[in-house]
Amino acid sequence: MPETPMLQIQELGHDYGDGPVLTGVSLEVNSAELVAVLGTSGSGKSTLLRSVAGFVNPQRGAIQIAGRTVSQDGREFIPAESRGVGMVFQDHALFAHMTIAENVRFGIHREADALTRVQALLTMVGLQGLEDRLPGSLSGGQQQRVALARALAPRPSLLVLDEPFANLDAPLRRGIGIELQEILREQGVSALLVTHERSEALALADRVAILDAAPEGGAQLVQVARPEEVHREPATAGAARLTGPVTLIPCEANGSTATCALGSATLLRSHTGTCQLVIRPEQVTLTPDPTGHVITSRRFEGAGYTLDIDTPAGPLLAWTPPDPTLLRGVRVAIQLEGKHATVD
Amino acid sequence: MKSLAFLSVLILTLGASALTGCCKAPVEDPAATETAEASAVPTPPAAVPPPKPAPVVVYSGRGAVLVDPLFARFTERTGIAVEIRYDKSTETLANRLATEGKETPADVFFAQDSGYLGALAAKELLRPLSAELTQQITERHRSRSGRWIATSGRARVLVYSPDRVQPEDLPATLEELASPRFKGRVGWAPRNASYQAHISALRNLWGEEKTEAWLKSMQALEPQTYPKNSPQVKAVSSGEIDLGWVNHYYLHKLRAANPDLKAANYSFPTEGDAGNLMMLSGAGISVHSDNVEGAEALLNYLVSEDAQTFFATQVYEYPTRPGVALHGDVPALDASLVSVDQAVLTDIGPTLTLLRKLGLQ
Amino acid sequence: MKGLKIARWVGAVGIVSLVALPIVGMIFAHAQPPGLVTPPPLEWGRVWPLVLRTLLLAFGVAAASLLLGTVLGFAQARMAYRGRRVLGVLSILPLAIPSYLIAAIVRESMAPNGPLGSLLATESVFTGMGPAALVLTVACTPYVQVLVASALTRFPAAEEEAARALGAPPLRRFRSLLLPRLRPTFSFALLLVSLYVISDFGAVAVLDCPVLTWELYQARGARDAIVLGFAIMACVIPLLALLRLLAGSARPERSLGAPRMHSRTPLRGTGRFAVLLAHAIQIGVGVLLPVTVLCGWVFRGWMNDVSFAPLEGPVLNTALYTILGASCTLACAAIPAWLVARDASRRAGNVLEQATYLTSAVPGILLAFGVLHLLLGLQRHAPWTLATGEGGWATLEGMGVFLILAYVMRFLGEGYAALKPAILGLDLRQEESARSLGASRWRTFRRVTWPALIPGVTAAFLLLFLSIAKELPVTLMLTPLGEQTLAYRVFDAQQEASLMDVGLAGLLLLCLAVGMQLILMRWRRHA
Repeated sequence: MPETPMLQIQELGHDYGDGPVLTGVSLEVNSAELVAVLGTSGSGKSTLLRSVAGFVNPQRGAIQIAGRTVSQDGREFIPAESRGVGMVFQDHALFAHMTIAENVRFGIHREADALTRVQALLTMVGLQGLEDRLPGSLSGGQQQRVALARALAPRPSLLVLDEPFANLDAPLRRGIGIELQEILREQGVSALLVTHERSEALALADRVAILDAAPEGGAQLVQVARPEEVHREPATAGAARLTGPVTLIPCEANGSTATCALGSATLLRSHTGTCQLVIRPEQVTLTPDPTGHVITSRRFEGAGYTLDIDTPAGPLLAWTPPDPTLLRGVRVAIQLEGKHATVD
Repeated sequence: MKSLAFLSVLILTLGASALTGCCKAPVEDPAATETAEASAVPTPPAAVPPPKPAPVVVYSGRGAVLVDPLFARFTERTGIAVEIRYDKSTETLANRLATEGKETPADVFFAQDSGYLGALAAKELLRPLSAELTQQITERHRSRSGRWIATSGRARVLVYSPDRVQPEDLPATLEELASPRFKGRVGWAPRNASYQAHISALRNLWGEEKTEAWLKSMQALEPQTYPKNSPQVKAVSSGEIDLGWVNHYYLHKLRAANPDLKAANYSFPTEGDAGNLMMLSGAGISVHSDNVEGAEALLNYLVSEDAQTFFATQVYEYPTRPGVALHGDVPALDASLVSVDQAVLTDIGPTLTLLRKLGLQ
Repeated sequence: MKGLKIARWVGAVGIVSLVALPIVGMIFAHAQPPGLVTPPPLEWGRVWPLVLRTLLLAFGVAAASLLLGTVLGFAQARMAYRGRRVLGVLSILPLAIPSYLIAAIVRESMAPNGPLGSLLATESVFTGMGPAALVLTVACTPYVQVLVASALTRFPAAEEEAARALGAPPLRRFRSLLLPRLRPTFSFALLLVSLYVISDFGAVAVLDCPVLTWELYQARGARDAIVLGFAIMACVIPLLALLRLLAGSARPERSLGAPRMHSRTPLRGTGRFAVLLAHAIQIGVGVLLPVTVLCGWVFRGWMNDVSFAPLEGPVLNTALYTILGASCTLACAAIPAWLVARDASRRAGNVLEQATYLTSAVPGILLAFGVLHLLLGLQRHAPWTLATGEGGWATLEGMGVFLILAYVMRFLGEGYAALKPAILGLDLRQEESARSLGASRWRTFRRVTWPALIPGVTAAFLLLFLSIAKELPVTLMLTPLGEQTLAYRVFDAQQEASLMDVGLAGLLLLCLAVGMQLILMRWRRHA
C-alpha cells in the first residue's frame, strides 16, 4: 500500500506586485526522501519554500503536510508556528543572545527529555561540549550545524532548507552535505532543499525538481526526476543549463540520429523533427586538425581542461583530460560521442 | 579653515547685530509690567534735539509703550532730550540705582510702584523736592519724606460679571469677600506684584493674624489661580469665574480692544475699607544727578495738567493733580480710599513668607 | 600646519569652556550685594517637595511615553494596517511642536468654558501635575516611537522566522527574542525622556506645575536661584552619568546575518484597538487639537473684531535671532566636530566630545539665569562705557549678544551631533586625490570637501534653526528689552490670556516648526 507522501503540493501559484512568481507547481516529497529544488536566483524557489514553511499564503493551489491541508487557494491557512515544519535558513538565523544549548532547546516543548535531547542532538552534529558558547563565537560551519540541530529538535516530519550551504566554502559544503544526508536518513525526516548550486542538488537529492521560467511569467516546475536522469535527459533547455555545463545546437532529428552543423550524433530517444541537441562537454572528442575549428580559450580545472571552441554553430564547450597539444589557437576536429538528449 | 569660517561668521554676526541695534523692530511693551497699553496715542511730531540743554537720563520701571509718547511730548515742549533705560521690574532698577551710587548716570527714577521710591528715599538716595513741586498734587498723596512725588494712581478693585452677580450680592467690605456664598466663584493672582502689595498693606492695616485668617478663609473658597490680572478680567467675561481681584484699569484697557467685554469694576462702598487700596506710581531725582535742572523740569511736567490728563485719558489711571478730569468710565474714589503709607506696600519679605506658608507661593 | 592645529585645539577648548560662563554667572549672583528689599530666602523644607515632584513627573512621563511609544513603534515596524504610513508620520509631528504651545492649547481648551471643557464639564482650570504629565507625554512619545521602531527594524528578520518555524507563538517571540534585545533601547529612552522633562520649562510654566524649573524662573533673589539651580543639577547629573554609562557599554548590534525586510502581520482585535487608541491620543492632542484650536482663536478674534498685537516685530526678531543663533552655533560646533572626526586621538576625542555634550546638558532656564547674572556681574565689576556714553555691556545686551551666546551654549551639543556624522562621512580618498593632483589645502577644501559637506551642514543648520525658534526659557530671559520673538509672544500672550495673539503667533510657529520638520524628514530619506 503506497504511503501518503509527507508533502503534497498541487498547482501552486502566487503573484507579487508586478506579476506571477510561481505557476502551476505540483510536487510530492515522500517519507524520508530529500528533494532538491534547483533554479536560478530569483526564480521563485524562495517563495515555494516559504509557502511550504508557512510564511507565505499562496494565492492558488493547495499544500498538504502529512495528509493535513495547510493552505488552500489563499484560504484555510495554517501559519508557520503551527505547522511543525522545521526550517534551516541560509544565514542560519541563530538567536544571537542565547547560548547554543538554549538555541537548540528553544523548539522543545516538553520539559521531560529536553536536556538529554539537546545533548543528543549536539552530539549528532558533532558539537558536543560547545553548549555554553554564544553563536557569534563559532565558525560558519559550526553555526550551520547548530541551526540543523535546532531545527530537528522539535522532531519535525518535514524539514525545509533554504540554500543552507551558500555561505560556506566548497570543502566544508561537501562535508556538511554528506552529514546532512546521513542525519536525515537516520532520523527518517523528509526534506525539501532549495538551491541554485547544481552540484549540491545533484549530489544530495533523491530527486531533483527543476524550476524554470514559465512562458506566462513566473516559474514552473519543468522536470522532477532522479539526479542522473535530470542530468542525462533534461526536459527543457533551461533544465539542461541548470544541470551542468552544456551546449545546445539546433539539429534535425530523424529517428535515432540527428544531424547538425558539427556532424551527426546518436540520440538517446527516438525523435523526429527540428530540435536542439544537448551536448555535454565530456561528450566531445577532439583531434588536432589544421582544417578544423579554433580553440578560443582554455581553462585548467584540476582533472582536465574545459575548452571553448569556435564553430559555425556557435561556441562549443568541450572537456578533455590533460593534453599538451590542445592549446589556445590550435585547430581541432570535433566528434560527438555517446547518446545525446534533445530539447525543443 | 573652519576657524576662518567661524571668524567671518562671527564678524557678520556682530555686524548684523549692530545694524539691528540701530534700526530695531518696533518696540512693544509686552505688558509684563502692570502698565496699561496706550491705544492709538497720537504721537507728536518728531522732537528736535536741542544742542544746549543736557539730556535727562531716566530709569523707568514703567513700560515703553506708556513712557515713550509721554516723554516725547515733554521733549517737544521743553526741548530737553530724554534718555530712558527700561527694566521689567522697578525692584531691579531700584537696586541698581542703589548699588551704582555715585557712578549712576540716572537723573530721574520713574517707578511703577512707589514703595521702592520710599525705600530709596529712606536711604537718602533721592533728593528732597521743592515745595513748589510737591504742592501741585493732592495732599493725601504727598510723600512723607518729600523726596518723591506721586504721578498717578492705580486702584485695587473687584471685577465682576453683571450677569451672574447681583449688586446686592457683592461684598460690602474686603473681609466679606471671604464668605461661603462666593465659593468656587472667585479668582486671584498670588504671584502678581499688585496682589502682594495689597497683602502687605493688609498686614499693616489688620495685623498678621487677621490677614492670615482672612487668607485662609479665602483659600476655603477654592479660588482659581491666574498668573496675572488680564486673564481674570477675561475669565469673568467668559464665565470661568464671577469675581476677580485686580487693578481697575485692566477692564478699560481690555474693553478698548474688545467692546463686547461683559464685566464691571466694583469698589467697596465702605469708607476707608482695606479693599480700596490706591497704589501710586511716582518719580524722584537721584541725589547723584548731574542734571538737576532737567530732572526737575521733567518732574514738573509729569504733574502738569498735560501729563496728568494723559494719565487719565490714555491709560485710565487716577491723576494726582487736583482738578484733572478722570476718564469718563472711571469712577471717582477719593472718599472711600484707605489710608496707608505707600512704603508698606514694598514690605514684601514677610508677605512672601506668609504666602509661602499658606502654599500660595 | 602645526600652528593651525594648535589654533584649532585652542579654539575647541575655548568653545567647550563656555560651560564655565554660567558658573561664573552664578558666582557673581552669590556675591551680589543685598538689594533695597530683601525677600525671604527659600527654606530647605520647600525644596525637597519640589525635587520629589520634579522626579515624579519625570519618571511618570518617561513610563507613560515608553508605553505609548513602544505600542506605536511596534505597530509601525511590524504590523500592517490601513493608513499606517500616514498615521506614523502624523504621530511623530508633535515632536516639532513646542511643548508650551501644546500646553497652552490644552489648558485653554480644557478650561470650563473652553471647547473641550464645556463638553467634559470640567469645573476648574486645567493645571498642575496631571495636565503637565499629559502634555509632556504627548511631546515625548514620538521620540520613543522612532527609537523603538528603528531598533525593531534592525532586528534580524531571519531570527524571528526561525522562532516561528520552531513553533513559538507571537507572545513567546516577543518575550524571548525582542524584549531582551530592546532593553538597552528602553533604558536609553527612559533616561532621555526623564532628562527632557526635568529640563522642560515651557509646558510646566504654562500649566503652573510646581516643579523646579518653574520655581527657578520665579525665584526672588539670587540665593533662591542658586539653591534651585543646584537642586536641578542634582537631578540631572546622575541621569546624565547613567546615560553615558549606557552609551559606553552598548555593544554594536551583533546580528549574525544579512538584514531582510520583516514580514508584517495584520493588526486585529485588542492589538488593533490599542494601536489606534495610541495614535488617537498622539494625533488628537498633539496635532488636531492644536491646529483646530489655534485657528479657532484667530477666527473668533477676527469675527469679534478684537485688535491683536502687531506681529512684524516678533517675526523679524525670530528670523534674526534664530538665523544668527544657528549660524554661530554651527560655526562653534564645527571646531570640536572637525577635531573629533579627523584630527584627535581616540582619548582626546572622547574627552572633547563629552565636554561638548556637557555644555548642552544644563537645562535652558538654569543656563539663562547663569548668563543673566554673568551680565549683571560684569556690569557691576567690570563696567565699561562706549564713546556715546552708554554702558558697553548694556549695549551688547541690547544687540542680543548675550542671547546668542546662551543659544550657542544651549545647542552646541546638538550642532555637534549633527555635524560629526557629516564630517565622518567624507571620503578621504577624494581629498587625497585632489592633493596628489597638486591642489593646496585651501583649494582642496573649497572645491572638494566643502561641496561634500553642504548637505550635512544645511541639515544641521535647519535642525538648529528649528530648535532655537522653539526655545523658550533662554529667549524669555535674555531677549533684549522691549523685543519679542514668536516663542516669547506665545508665552506672554498666554499669561495675559490674549487668546487671539496666542493663536496668531502659535500658528506661525507651528507652521514653521512642522514645515521644517517635514523638510528634514524628506531630506533624511533622500540622503
